[in-house]
Amino acid sequence: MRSGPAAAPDTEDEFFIGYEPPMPPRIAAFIRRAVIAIAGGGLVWAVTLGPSHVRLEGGTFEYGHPRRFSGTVVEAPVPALQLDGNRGGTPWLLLVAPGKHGAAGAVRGLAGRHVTLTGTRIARAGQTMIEIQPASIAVGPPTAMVEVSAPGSGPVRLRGEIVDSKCFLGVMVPGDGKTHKECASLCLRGGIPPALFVQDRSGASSLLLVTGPSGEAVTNQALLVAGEAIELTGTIARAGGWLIVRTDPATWRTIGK
Amino acid sequence: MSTTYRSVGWNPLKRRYDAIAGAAIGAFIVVAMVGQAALRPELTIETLLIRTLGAAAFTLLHVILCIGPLARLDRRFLPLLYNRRHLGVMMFTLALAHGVFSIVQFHSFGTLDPLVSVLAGNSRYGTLEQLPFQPFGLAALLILFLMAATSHDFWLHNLSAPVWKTLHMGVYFAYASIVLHVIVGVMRSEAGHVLGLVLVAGAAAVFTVQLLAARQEAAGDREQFSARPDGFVDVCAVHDIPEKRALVTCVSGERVAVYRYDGRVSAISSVCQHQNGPLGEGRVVNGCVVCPWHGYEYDPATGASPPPFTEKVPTFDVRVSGGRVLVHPLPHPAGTRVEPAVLASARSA
Repeated sequence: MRSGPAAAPDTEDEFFIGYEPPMPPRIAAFIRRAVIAIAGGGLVWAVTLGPSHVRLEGGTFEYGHPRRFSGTVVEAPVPALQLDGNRGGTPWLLLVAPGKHGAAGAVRGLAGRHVTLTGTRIARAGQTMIEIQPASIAVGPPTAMVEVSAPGSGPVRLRGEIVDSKCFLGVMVPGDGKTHKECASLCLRGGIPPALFVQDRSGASSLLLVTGPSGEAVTNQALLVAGEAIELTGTIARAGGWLIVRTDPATWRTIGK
Repeated sequence: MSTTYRSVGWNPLKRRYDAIAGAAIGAFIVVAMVGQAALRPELTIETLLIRTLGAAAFTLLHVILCIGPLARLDRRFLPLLYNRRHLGVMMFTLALAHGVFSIVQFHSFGTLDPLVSVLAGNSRYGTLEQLPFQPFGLAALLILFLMAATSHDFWLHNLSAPVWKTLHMGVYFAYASIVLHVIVGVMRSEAGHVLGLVLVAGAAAVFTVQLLAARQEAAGDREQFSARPDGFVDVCAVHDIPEKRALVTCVSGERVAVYRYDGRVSAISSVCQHQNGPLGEGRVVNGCVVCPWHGYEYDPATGASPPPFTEKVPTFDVRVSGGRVLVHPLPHPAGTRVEPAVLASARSA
């Protein structure tokens, strides 16, 4: 034998029918308190939502505020622009296309040519990228380009995370980690240059562009491990103010964070 | 109750219910967005929206999952149950917005179809560390879509209450899938300890109220009767049943609501034909048994809803002898008239 659910004795004579207002007074008072408690709990949780996530690092994406840039096009190892008047002081501005696409197609055959173009600035920790509007590129005459590079180092072993340079530099926050992994893969698949984000024990960090041993693209290998902590072996070179790690993907090994 | 299908059978309570729920959801979103923007200024608006909408949907799902068992444990919660389907649709809308923003942000504008990116953008299904979390969210969203799309009474009537209820039990798979979505996704990279604690507390709350309600149901379903030679079973004393209320008993595996009203006693199935609601926890109002969940009405003598409504539940033979109520465990077909047992006090009146 069973009886109905336990109910407070003082509401025993009250019965709620949804389509027959008003709600019985004691039930209404109870519901009022219950709703206030649920809503109050929800709001406390809403306030807690911010601190419940870790602080993220991010850059700047000047979305909606395009600018004009002029300089000399660099095609390799990654599409970039050497700004006019820059003789080594400012790192190249990496070039990417809108969406999850690289700019290789937009600047193909323009290496060493002077261009003006419109684009949106993306920047983080002194490293800058331009999301170009491909149709805005106006090509000028060839110019004498100043190569800013240093000889490569001996073999080094690095630990870090493969990221897509566009999101990492500021288009997205988070632009790295597990929740960004598929986006990073998609960006790399679209031709955005891969980079290795490394941090030492003191918290100092660097972003290195990643190429194959001869400067060739390693997109297909990089997109498989994007967003993951890996260890790799390679040599480090410098070009246009950017550190570049030249590495054979065969040396890459995923490691737990 | 209604004999025709309208998009929503509005009444003042439903309007108030939806207005309060909408305002609470809106307040949650505003407070969460402003709080995060103040504390985490590095976040982009897209990230704020994705996080907040996901958190709002998941939080609301906890409330929805607790309302049912709370109403079983304390009937004063029943008004929250009355319009729970609207909460479900609101929750699905929040989850859909979370999913759409996430797909647009992380999986669109590339060289892969966004859905391909969601399902195959990360192929590391063999590793726990890198296991993709989006497919769990997508699976939950599909289940929630099915539930929201079939939430209307049109589908309830056409699918039948048992099929509809079974389909809507999918909410537990959706909940489990979302828990995995959170654990494998955001907990792996962006979460601090607070988020983990909140997740555990939420799951514990849902599990606890579900368990308590299930225990209460199971205790009530234990049969403790032996049939008399005439096949009837003695279920209770007449005075055990409050006037215009029922005592619910379980005979031959059926939940039977034994109602006492106006000097008579009738026994009908305790399972409402609308959403399998507990008819035995209802009340006789204007001569009809009224289901406590959504107010569906049944004549206690026939088990049939008053015209023009067509719902019917099985009826049971009932007798009163020596102050005891006797019920025959074999049900009559739904809607079969059974003469109520007349109490001696009513005969002498």
